[in-house]
Amino acid sequence: MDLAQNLRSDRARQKRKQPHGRKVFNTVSCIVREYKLGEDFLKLIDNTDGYFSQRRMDLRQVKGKKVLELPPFSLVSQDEYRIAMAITGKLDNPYLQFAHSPEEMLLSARLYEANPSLTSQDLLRHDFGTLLLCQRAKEELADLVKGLGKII
Amino acid sequence: MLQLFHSELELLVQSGFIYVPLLFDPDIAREIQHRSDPEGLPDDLASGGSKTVVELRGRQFIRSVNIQSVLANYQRIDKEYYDQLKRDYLQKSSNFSGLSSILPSGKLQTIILKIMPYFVRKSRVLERRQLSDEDLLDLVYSKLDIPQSFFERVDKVLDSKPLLRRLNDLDKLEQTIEMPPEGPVTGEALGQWLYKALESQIVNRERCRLDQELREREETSESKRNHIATLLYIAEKGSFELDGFGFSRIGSRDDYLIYKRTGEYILKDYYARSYRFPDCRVAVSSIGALRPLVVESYKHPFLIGHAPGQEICISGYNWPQEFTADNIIRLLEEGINALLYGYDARRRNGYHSLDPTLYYVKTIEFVDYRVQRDDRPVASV
Repeated sequence: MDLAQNLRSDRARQKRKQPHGRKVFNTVSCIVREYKLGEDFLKLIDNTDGYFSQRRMDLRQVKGKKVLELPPFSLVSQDEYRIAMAITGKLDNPYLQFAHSPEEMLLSARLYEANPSLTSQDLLRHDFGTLLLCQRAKEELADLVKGLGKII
Repeated sequence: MLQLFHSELELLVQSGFIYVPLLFDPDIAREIQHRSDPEGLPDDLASGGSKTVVELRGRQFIRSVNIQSVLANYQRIDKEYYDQLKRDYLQKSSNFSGLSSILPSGKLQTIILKIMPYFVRKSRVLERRQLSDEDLLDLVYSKLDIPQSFFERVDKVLDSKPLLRRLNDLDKLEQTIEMPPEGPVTGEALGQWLYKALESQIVNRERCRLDQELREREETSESKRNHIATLLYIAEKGSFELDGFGFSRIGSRDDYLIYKRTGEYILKDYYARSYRFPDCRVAVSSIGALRPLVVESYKHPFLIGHAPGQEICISGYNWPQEFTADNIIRLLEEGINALLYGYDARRRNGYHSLDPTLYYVKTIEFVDYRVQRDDRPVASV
């Protein structure tokens, strides 16, 4: 491809309508406004281990993804903006933009740690808690298979 | 915007503007950051020198609407609420009915001031100019014998005493509109201020209206008094006729039968024999379909029978739907023209023929209208 063709194709691509991407701020600010999150939630982020140890997760807790209507643009008050930016700063991970509830926001970092290769389709369709349980089950199953291999 | 005045939001009043809390997203936050930098973008100022964004106790506020502008245009912003407020507030003091409340309006006004001048002339001399409202009312007044009670009613309405009393009442009410104090204020408090300011505005506007009415009354001459009495009398009576043009009220509502007399006229049959037709009233009713009809029990080649209130046969005509002066004038002229000039003796058009033909069905006969020698039409439109 010569330079002229390259320039033409570049310009054509730039002119094309781009789908409106999902933005972390939009998601987080909407959840902050919807659930009226405040300083307590920021404290909770710093102490996620304690929170999840109190709430032991088992298969009975498997639940569907919560519905959250996201506007294309989000504007929030000054306080909500500060909280949203603080959450984005503390839980900085690629799964955060797919969260639909405060609990999913808390789980997003753990889920990313456990499996960073989940697709956006999976993240949009399933609750993060369920995905995390699934991931743990897979790990346990792999350990069992490994142990069984040693016995046999 | 109206929700703002019923909310518990913390607002800010500064330089005559209402400042609302600024909403944020990362782009706006970045822009605000740039503005606060000493080397950043300068703040653009409105014509009154007010800042676009101001900071108060660490909170950012953005300029929204001008308070004076909201107050001045509230009648257009929320007409329903404004009218309700006006009704409630003005009812508190004595009720006053202006001159306009007693004068005829609607269809009667259209008939008297727009249709009648077309058909009525001051003199028989050919005159291009149509009568003005004043000339017409002078003419009508001269033809009527109006009872004294109508002049008394006019005098009562034109009496300035109740008006002056009303003005005094209004003077006692709050007049000045003070701007809300600058600084933070809740939406509810601003709404209460707006309510009071609107009340003062309503009082001021009512006072201006009454002043104008008072001036008009002082300028009312004797002829104007007669005109008002004439209109009142006609409105009460519901019918009037002048120079062959007239109208009469149908029922008790604002609907009328508007008519014009044809006078006597002559039509000729196939053998050039003359038939003298008596005078009749061609009318249009403001109620129902707008069609020309003959009021009296009448016979004519263009009328199907010999009965009162028959529609004149006019084919291929685009009938108007709306009651306007132009439409009524056009319909009356069409009806009269059809009766006087529409019959073609050679074609024998219409429902009936003037001369009895060989194969004619004997329904309506015009033999009794036949004249022995030719006469000129007695009346013409």
